Amino acid sequence: MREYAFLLLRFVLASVFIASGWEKAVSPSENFLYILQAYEVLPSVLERLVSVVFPWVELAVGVSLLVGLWLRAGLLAATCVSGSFILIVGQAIIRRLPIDNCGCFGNLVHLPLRGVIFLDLALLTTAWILSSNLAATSFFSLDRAAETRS
Amino acid sequence: MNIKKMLWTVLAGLVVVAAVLFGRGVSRGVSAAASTAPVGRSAGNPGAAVKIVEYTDFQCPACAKASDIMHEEVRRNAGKIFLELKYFPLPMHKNARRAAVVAECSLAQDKFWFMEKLLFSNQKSWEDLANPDDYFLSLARGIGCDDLKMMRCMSDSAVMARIDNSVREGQGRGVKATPTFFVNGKMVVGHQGLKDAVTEGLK
Repeated sequence: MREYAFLLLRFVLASVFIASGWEKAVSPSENFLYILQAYEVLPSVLERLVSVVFPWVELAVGVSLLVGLWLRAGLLAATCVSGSFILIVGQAIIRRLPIDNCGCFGNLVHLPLRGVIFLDLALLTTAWILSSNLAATSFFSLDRAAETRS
Repeated sequence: MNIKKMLWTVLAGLVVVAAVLFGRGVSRGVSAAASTAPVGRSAGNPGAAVKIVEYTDFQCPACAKASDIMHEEVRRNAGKIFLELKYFPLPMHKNARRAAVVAECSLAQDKFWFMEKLLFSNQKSWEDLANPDDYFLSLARGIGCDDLKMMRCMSDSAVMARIDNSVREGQGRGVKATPTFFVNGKMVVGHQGLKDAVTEGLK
């Protein structure tokens, strides 16, 4: 029963990352670049690079969690990404930057910045819980399948 | 290193890349096919070296700022820039669509650019109104538009259809946010990269 609960949490976390990465990856990268520019945290050269690379990172993390492949690395990346989002969105709130939509999911969902902080805290907590229980989290995963068959 | 795990990783990577490439084709191709004749409002020299298409939302503060920059660029580079404006009211801006309608109706009375300027400069006054039409009509009156013609036009379904076509066309080109510019076909979202793109086009 416990393993099914962890599987559900893993799928929820995976779907958030896949939805977020998918929306950005299928759109022209200029749209995500515009969102990054609004947060005013990166130099312009890095903003362009991140706008192209980051959607693929989100997708990779999401797929890793969904199929359970390289789970430890996937969960570590999910923790780092969620933690970074909290810092980036937090500084935007403190600086009162005029951002009325976080842009986290492209045009899929519009979330105000304060709402995003709670979402990212939930994601961070989920990733941490799953990392701390890796054995249970590996239930129904390709990682486990690879171990048992090799 | 586990060979099976490596193979699954490569397979997963290929599936993701293929899905994204397919998704890009679908999300742009379908919307573009749905678009009919482009809706454009223009300024400047049609034979200019720099052709800019702007997708705008009259309720978006960044679009108001971009409009100032854009008009300044057109003035500064007279004859070298051709600007075409298209509507892209975002769903999160409740009065943006009606503002696009009033702008389109003012076009029929040759007051489009006056109305564009008024809508942006008075954005704060109408963005939260429950029914902005009376306010929009007062703006139209102020620039000499005929009241009756405006009212008739603002309830014309053909005008709404033109706004929708403009939105669909933008979606077909990958527009998600406003302002989005296409400077000689190159996509620029927001006004930050606009000056650079224009300078590059003028070279």
